[in-house]
Amino acid sequence: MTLQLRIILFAVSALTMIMIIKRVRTSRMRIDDAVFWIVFSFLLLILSIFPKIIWFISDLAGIETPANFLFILIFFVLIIRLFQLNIKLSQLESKMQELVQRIAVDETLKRETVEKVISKNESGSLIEDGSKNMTDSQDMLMREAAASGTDDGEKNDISHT
Amino acid sequence: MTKEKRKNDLSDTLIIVPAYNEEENIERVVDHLIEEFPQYDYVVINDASKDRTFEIIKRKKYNCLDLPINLGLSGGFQAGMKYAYIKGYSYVVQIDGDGQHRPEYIESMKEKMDEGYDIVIGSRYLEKKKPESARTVGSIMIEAALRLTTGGWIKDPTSGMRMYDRKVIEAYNKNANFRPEPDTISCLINNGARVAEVPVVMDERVGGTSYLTPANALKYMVQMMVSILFIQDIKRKNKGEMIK
Repeated sequence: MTLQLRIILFAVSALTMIMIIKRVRTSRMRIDDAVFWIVFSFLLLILSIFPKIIWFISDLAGIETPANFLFILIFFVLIIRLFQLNIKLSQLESKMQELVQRIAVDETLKRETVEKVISKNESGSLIEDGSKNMTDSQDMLMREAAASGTDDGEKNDISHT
Repeated sequence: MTKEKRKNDLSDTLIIVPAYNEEENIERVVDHLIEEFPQYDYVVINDASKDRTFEIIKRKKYNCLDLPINLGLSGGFQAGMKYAYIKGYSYVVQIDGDGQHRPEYIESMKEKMDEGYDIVIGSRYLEKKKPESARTVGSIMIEAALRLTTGGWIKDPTSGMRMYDRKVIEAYNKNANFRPEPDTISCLINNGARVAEVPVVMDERVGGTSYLTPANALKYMVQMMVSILFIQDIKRKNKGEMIK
């Protein structure tokens, strides 16, 4: 390994580390996620200062060219990271779905109770409107119950077979 | 009678009780708060517990924020901070749902606060020396990192029992990265917050399991060290911007 190459490697990894730390600080990145990148760039820096580590481990593992070991190492780390990110993304998506559904149900429940209170308080012709709303919502509830009933029926069928 | 009083006038101090799967402890902890310390308001944060925690809360009609999904200790605590901010509380204390923290010490923390501090930490090691265990090795490392970045000694940075004033409550509401952990303390100190410690005694948890399992302890340490040393200290440049 020539001196020039080592200097270039060191410079590049040092710059990478500085860039990552700077961006992590200025962006509103969550600390848990930022930690991986800081550790990763630190690792690159260490390897550029002591490239013998790569030689040593690749000898140990029986890999002929140290460059291959480096590729495997970084590939592996990044694949694991990608997998973790994918898990997180899936969890986020299902969490968001749950939240949206919950908000929608809560809003509807709130509206229903408000409508009930209004229809109780108001008199005369408005009572009819209120009762109409009531029957509408009752209708909907009944339909929902019927739908869930058939769902249960299907489930029962499946469990029987 | 004390319950009636609680409902009518708003205390200026809110106790945040984060609870995740604390069915064994929550009743004892919150009943103790209600009976012995009616001068403080409290809010239980049910962090989408999977056990009977929320059933107990509902049955006993505790004041509670019920999170629909699990956010972890930090997210749950932030929800409590948001509640405190919106309702206009001047002080917030964190008392864990496992009963480790004794609310008796809130008064001495408040007294310390009135001497002109923004954060008061209930410290286990102010008068007593740290016992030698894996846990305290972590504590000593974080202590050293805080010393390095802030220049101040904090004897028990990992203590969960902390009191915050209005300025810090506001800061928590503006910054999603703030959590009830030492790295946030480091950031707040660098932004002009004054921190003091008062001696407290903590109990061992009686039932249930901790957020911080031994498997997570190492991850926690790496996170804290990297966060304190590389991420949080920079905000020194805009000193005093967040606090004040």
